[in-house]
Amino acid sequence: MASILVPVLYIVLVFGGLWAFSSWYRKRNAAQVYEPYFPQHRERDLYISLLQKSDPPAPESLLKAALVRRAMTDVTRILRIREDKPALQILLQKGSIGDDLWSSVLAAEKEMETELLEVAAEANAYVEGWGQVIFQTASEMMANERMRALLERVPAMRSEAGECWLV
Amino acid sequence: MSQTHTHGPGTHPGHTHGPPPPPPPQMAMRPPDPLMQAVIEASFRPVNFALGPPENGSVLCGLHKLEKCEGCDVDYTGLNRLSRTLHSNSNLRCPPPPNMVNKQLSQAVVNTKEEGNALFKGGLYDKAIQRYTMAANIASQRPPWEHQILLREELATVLSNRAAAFLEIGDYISSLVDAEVVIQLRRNWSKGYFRKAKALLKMDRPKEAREAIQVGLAFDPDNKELQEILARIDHFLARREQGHQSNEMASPDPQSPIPPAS
Ligand SMILES: [Zn+2]
Ligand SMILES: [Zn+2]
Repeated sequence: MASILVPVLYIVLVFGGLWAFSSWYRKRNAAQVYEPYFPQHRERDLYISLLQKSDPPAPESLLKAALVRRAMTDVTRILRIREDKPALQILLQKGSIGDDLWSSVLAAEKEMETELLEVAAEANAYVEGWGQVIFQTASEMMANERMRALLERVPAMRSEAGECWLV
Repeated sequence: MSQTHTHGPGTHPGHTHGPPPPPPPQMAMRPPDPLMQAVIEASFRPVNFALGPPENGSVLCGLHKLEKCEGCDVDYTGLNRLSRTLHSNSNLRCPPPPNMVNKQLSQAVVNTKEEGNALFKGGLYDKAIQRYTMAANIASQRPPWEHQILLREELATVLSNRAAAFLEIGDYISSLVDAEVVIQLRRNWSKGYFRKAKALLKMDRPKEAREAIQVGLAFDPDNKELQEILARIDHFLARREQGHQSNEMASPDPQSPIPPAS
């Protein structure tokens, strides 16, 4: 009995798995257009909310700072797309990912193009020429903030290293 | 490509030269795509916030009036810091380009670090550590928009020296942590790996020290300092393997203090 059971079990596992996967996959593709590639752009939401604020209005220094934070998120997203896209293209060609994921990357990329133009235009409205600098500023700020955070973690790193050392 | 004339920057030629050039890398100031603008507009979700001090120049969560709030899942500390910086520098209309550098601050970092180096050479390691810590704190007060390479190199140098000073007073854990931070700051700088290996050897972890040196050598294969210490570690490990522990227990690093980098 065992000699028959093994190949049967094998077939059930392999084909059963495939069937379950493809039905899940078809259902999933039918149900959704595609999910946005990035979560809600909260820095953009805050910037626009600040612009809309009246009585009292947000001071200009705060608006400018919020625009820089928005640009920082943009830089992160542009880098993410640049990093993910080639890998996803390979997966798409292999058939390892669906068209939906690919479409959502392309849509995100298109949206980011417009987003960058909008941020640059906003920046230029405050100070002529700032739009050409703001993304460079944003990327330096991200790197500098990471370094400051690293420096602040030193005491915690010492106690962690100390604990490891005691064990 | 027989024509020899040039097109001024930003001018659009009315003719082409052979095969079309690749499309310009975005940001060529095309008008934004109205469809995408509509998508962006539709995705907007108003944020519930409150304005806080000074002079409504900061953002707080709307519910609890906190700058950083776990309940609301917001952290406005970075935003508010930048807002304050812009507000207090009223001559700054926006963050200047990254190559505009605060030279006074650079000089203060260098001076403080050199005071530390002098104390180190005089054997006053505790005092040297204090100076290096101060130099690191001065460096981290750089305006956040300045070119990252400045803070990176200043912190890496100062912490590398501090790691050496910690090693001298026998605080190997602090030395190891500083070396680790130096590596994270400048991954291709041999000094971080050298300091890390020195600390690990003092903690009797020669195999990890060897690994650190090998990572460093992958970035800088011709580095003499790393090659030498690797040879010593290998010698030490071979001896230990042979069971010659009795008179080889001393760590394989040189006994003389290592002077700070610069
Ligand atoms: Zn021409
Ligand atoms: Zn809250």
